[in-house]
Amino acid sequence: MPYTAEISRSNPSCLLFLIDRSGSMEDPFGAGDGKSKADGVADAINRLLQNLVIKCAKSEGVRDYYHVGVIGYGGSTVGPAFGGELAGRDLVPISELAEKPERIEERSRKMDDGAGGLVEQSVKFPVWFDAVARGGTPMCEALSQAERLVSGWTAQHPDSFPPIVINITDGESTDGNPTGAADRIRSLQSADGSPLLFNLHLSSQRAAPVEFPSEESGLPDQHARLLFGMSSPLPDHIRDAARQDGYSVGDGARGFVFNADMVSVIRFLDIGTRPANLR
Amino acid sequence: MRLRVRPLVAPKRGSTPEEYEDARWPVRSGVHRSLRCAVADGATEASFSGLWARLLVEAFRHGRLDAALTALPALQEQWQAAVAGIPLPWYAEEKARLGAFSALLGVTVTGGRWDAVAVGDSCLFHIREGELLAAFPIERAEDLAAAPHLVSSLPRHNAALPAHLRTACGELRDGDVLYLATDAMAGWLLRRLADGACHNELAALRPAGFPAWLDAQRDAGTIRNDDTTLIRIDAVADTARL
Repeated sequence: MPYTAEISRSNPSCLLFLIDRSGSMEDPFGAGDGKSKADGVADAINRLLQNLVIKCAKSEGVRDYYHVGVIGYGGSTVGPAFGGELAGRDLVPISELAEKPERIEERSRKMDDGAGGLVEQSVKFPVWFDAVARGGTPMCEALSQAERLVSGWTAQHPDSFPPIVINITDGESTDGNPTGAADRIRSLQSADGSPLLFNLHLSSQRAAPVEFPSEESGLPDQHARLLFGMSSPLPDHIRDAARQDGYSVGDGARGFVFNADMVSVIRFLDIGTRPANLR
Repeated sequence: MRLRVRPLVAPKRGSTPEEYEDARWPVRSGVHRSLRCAVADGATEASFSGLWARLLVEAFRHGRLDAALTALPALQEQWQAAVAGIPLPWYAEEKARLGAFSALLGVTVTGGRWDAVAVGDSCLFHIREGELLAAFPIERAEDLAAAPHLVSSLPRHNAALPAHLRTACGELRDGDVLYLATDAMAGWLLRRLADGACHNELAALRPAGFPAWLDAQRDAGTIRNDDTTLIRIDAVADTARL
């Protein structure tokens, strides 16, 4: 059965993020309070990486359950987007990522105090990426680079849980229709199934957020429908975890969200016992 | 009646013994007249879960944790004090802020009866003459959830705990066998005990040979790779030779 391989330090998996850094990302984000879509992308990728690092963290350090890459695309630039000491690297072990954010900010967050009230806590927020917006949107080239990376990974790790590619974009590709490049990623094969391609659509439209839809009929525009069509169906265990978390997901739900958070996907990844009461 | 106790343990394959996050009491084999025994299974997805599991088991062992878990706040303070004293990098600090989680199964065996309390997916099995009399708190392998509700080291995650707290009791006779098992082993037992064919195999298990037996089961795909703890308790007549 596909998507059942154990994710462990001796049999790690791969998460590859594609981040749209094109000029159109300067436009306002429909779900944001005056933020641009570029701010939305930076926030999304930093939160995804933070949650992934924390997921893999134990008291003694971060366990390398994942190797992680980030490909940025905007203008004529498509390639590894890490800065600082990680600049130029395509896939790095998650423990290395944990040690090398660009900076760590202190933010405050309201937390449930367990007695019916809220308490404000100061939390550490690592930043690997700042907002960037310039030039066109070479999404086809970004997906082609992702295909090469993912293909190389699966050849080296044939028994691993298949790589997951998460594309964060406004969907306005300027180098052609990305459907073919997306299909090529989703048709690669490994012993445990094909790589998964998920899309996080950040739009200027003020339409209601959509999470893991099963059909495109309720989606607000052609960009959303295009990205939905490129997205893999959720594997059974991820769909079940989403349901247990209270998401209303149909049997054909796809790895696509519109103007919403995809951090939940990190929660649904299975690396061991996940307490139902851990939120 | 005497109680002959044999704990069997092995860490998840690929983990070191130091990374084993289950806890148990008793730690070693022995013979008792009465006993407060327990297993706890610290959740992989949280940090300092092994510490939390050990605190729960120790408290149950000493009778400080009753069937309503009323001593939980004191244990939570103990866990928080232990973790707060450790300098941590940002990710470990954030992870610790989420709290630790553990399943707990505590069983008191005395005067020819057992009384059990459980939260989560560690299970008790009561066998008499090769028949499964009781499986508690989970009775079917398919009910072992990927995400069980567990006891947290933080009060804010325990609001729904009373709804997930289970108790049970039973009469124990000479010759009966009890098993306390963390979830991977509980799944194996739930699948195999019904056919009654595994009693001799289980009776032959010894602490030194348990890791190899477990590895063979893992290779055959009959048990999930996880930290694994199994405590076998034989109720032995006073007149029987041990």
